[in-house]
Amino acid sequence: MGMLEIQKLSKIYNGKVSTRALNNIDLTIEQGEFVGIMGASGSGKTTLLNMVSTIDTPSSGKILINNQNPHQMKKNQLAQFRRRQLGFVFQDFNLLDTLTIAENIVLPLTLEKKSLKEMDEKLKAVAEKLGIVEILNKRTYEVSGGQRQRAAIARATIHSPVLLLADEPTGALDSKSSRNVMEMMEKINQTDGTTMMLVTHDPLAASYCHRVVFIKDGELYNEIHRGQNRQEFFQEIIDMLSFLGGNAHELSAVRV
Amino acid sequence: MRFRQFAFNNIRRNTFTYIAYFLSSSFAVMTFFTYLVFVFHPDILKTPIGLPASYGMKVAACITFIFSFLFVLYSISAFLKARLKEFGILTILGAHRKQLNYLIFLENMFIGTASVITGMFCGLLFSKLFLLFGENVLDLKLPMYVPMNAVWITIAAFMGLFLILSFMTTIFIRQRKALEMVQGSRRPKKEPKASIWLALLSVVSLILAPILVSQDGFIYISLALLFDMIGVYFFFTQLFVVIIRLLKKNRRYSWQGLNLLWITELAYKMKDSARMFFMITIVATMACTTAGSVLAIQRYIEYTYTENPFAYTVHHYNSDIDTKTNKKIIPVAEKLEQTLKREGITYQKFRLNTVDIRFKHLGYLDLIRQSEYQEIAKTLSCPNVSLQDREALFIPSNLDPLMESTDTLTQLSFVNQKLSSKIEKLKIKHQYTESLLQRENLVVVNDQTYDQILKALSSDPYTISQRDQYLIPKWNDQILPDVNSIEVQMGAELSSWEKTFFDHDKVALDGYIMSRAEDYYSMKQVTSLTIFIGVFIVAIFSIFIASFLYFKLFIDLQHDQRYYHELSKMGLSQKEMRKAATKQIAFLFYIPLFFSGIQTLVALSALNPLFPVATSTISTGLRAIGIFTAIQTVYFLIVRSRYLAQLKRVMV
Repeated sequence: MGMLEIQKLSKIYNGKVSTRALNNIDLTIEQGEFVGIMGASGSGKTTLLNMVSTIDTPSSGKILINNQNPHQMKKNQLAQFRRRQLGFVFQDFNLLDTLTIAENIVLPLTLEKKSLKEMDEKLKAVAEKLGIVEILNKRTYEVSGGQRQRAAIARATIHSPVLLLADEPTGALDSKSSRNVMEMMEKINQTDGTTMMLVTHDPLAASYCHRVVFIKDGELYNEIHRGQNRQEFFQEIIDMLSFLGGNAHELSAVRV
Repeated sequence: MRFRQFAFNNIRRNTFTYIAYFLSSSFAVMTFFTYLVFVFHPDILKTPIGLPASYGMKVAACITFIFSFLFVLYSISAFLKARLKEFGILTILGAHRKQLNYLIFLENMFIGTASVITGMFCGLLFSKLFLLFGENVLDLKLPMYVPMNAVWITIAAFMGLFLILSFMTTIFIRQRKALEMVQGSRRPKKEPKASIWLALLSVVSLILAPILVSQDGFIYISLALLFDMIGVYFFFTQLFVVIIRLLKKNRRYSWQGLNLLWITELAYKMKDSARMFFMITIVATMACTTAGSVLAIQRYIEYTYTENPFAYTVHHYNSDIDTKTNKKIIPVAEKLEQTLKREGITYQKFRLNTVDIRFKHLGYLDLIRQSEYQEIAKTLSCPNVSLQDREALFIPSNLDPLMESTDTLTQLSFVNQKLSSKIEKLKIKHQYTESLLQRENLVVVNDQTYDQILKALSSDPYTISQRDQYLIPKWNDQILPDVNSIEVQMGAELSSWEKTFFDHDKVALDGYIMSRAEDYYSMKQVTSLTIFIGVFIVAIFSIFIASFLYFKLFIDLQHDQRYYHELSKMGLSQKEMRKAATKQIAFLFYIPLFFSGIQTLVALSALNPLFPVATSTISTGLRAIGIFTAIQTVYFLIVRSRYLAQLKRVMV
């Protein structure tokens, strides 16, 4: 059994014209694996992520996280499940700008009413790991985007979630910060063994994954595994994308 | 599409954004109009209390208008803030400032006109209800009429108001930069700043104020008021932020559960509209203090009725004055007795001859013969004390407490030189508190001493006031009379009978009649009217506070929705959201109330000795605060449920 099991997942949005956003997706992510999901805009990758992050409910099919089906839980139970088992990293950081960086990071722990000592220890450990010790007492609008995203990663991992979900974490960052953030995620994956699922259309970010899954028009299209060399993997991703979308020049090679 | 059409369509298609502003403006118009219908009611001016009351009512109308002005001003600025982004986009698209101003001006006038019409229409429906309520409280007949006066004044006042506001808002917009506008309210807010010194000043002022208030003297009272204002103002702008900061420093508390969420948000919300909260506190205090005082006065009036055992008192004029004129003298006592007989009411009559004598420390007290007192005492079963020469029975009235306590007093000393040399002092043999002659404080001495005192005074001008007290046992059941009771009716009849002889050439009365029921009832009408108007103002004001808080919350709603949406993704449950949000709203509602409650109590306890009141103003003040709190709690529950419903929608 994998950490994340997706079985025959479909999502239909009902409206004047029903749209099938996802169709019959099967995907398994093993414990400790770092998987990227890629696809063009509108391919359904964000829908997939929303299902996994329990924010949206599937039309049919099943999702098991750590052998639990979150979509069968009650609302309050579900909130608790998200809080304990999942960690989120978003494109626009979603840090609360009324709180300091440190307060933002410990937020999941305060909700769990952990002891102050435990919070301080964990905060120190995670801040050191991500290199954000010196900005802990700053406010979110006083630090750079890269630092903000690292703070967001710290918040997403401080409670040691079983699954870390990242939605375009490098989408709002420059290439240097992107690289830095991805290195941090890789490091957390390696040292803590946290299972990660990353949705992105940035091939550079995807190249840090162990495996990249491609979605096209709501269906699984292909997947490629990373070998020893990240550079090679990056090239493979670019090739795959250009094959998928046709316009290779859109997918910048500038960042290489 | 012409510009005017654009402005009109803007409103028509954006109904949702405009509706709050429109409704609150209509509401302001409605309350003002309803009130004017009442003030200008032709039948109110005809009543005996009409003229003195109409001045008060006009003042109240001004206050209502000022409230409406602030209320509309606030809603308009709230409304414009919500639309900053739209203005920003228009600016970027190349709209002139002039055009933008014109747009805002047109919109305001559209909405203004619409709300004046709607408000007056609703007011017309509502005023019938209001008049019915007034009829009940004031015992008057108030039929509906065509309130042309009210219509014109309302139209003039509010169209003027909207015109002024339109100009003011264009200034409000002019100061903004395009970038700021485009970002709208999405910009991250700066952390609230506070100066520790000003916070300390606030603490010191808040401590000083009650200390100063307990001192005597006008200067102290005004100083106390000043310090109180300073204290409360800096509480909301500075001290509160400092307190929140200290709370956050204490991580054992702030990093616990939901505390981190609501504490931080509260600091922002409070600081954002600190001035408004200051105003709320002060006005609520004023309202509660006034309400407490009026209630205390009413209680006092009830007391003057129930504590007075005599239904009628006939005061006789000094006989030698009337003989000089050649008028025919009509004895009032006879008229009263005839009237009582006609109605078949049995009575007991007591004649009293009292002399006003000034005593050291106590001022003027009424001297009574023991023989006269004993008759009354027997009937009313008051203590009967046998008095030797120069001994006195002292009976302070409980309706007009003396400044100093007399419990330990053992003797009464005269101010008059002759009296103190001949009689020296009066030894107090016994004393008890009772209002036998309403507010008069009595000294009973035996007949011999009484005559000695008169003799000693014989060369000085002194007056014996002669009065007849009428005891009507049937009416002494301690129940307050209403307008239809015989006692009130007869009192009114007698007083209008008396009035026919005022300035009469040929006939004069030999005295005048005081009817406790008449006195009570006419005083009661004045206080009822005051309370009626007061209740109306307090009601408007509390609605105003509630809508202000409602606006405050709903301006921030977008921000809060985002805030809770993000938190809910992270795993904040709905239950926790409710808890955190409820705490926040509760603080916003109840902190000003808490302050005004304490201030009211301090103010009323300072006012207490100024009142000739046997009841405490504190208890009536507490009642006023209680009622106010109850009303606010209803609003709190409504606002909370609406706000939570909005937040619930974004919870995943």
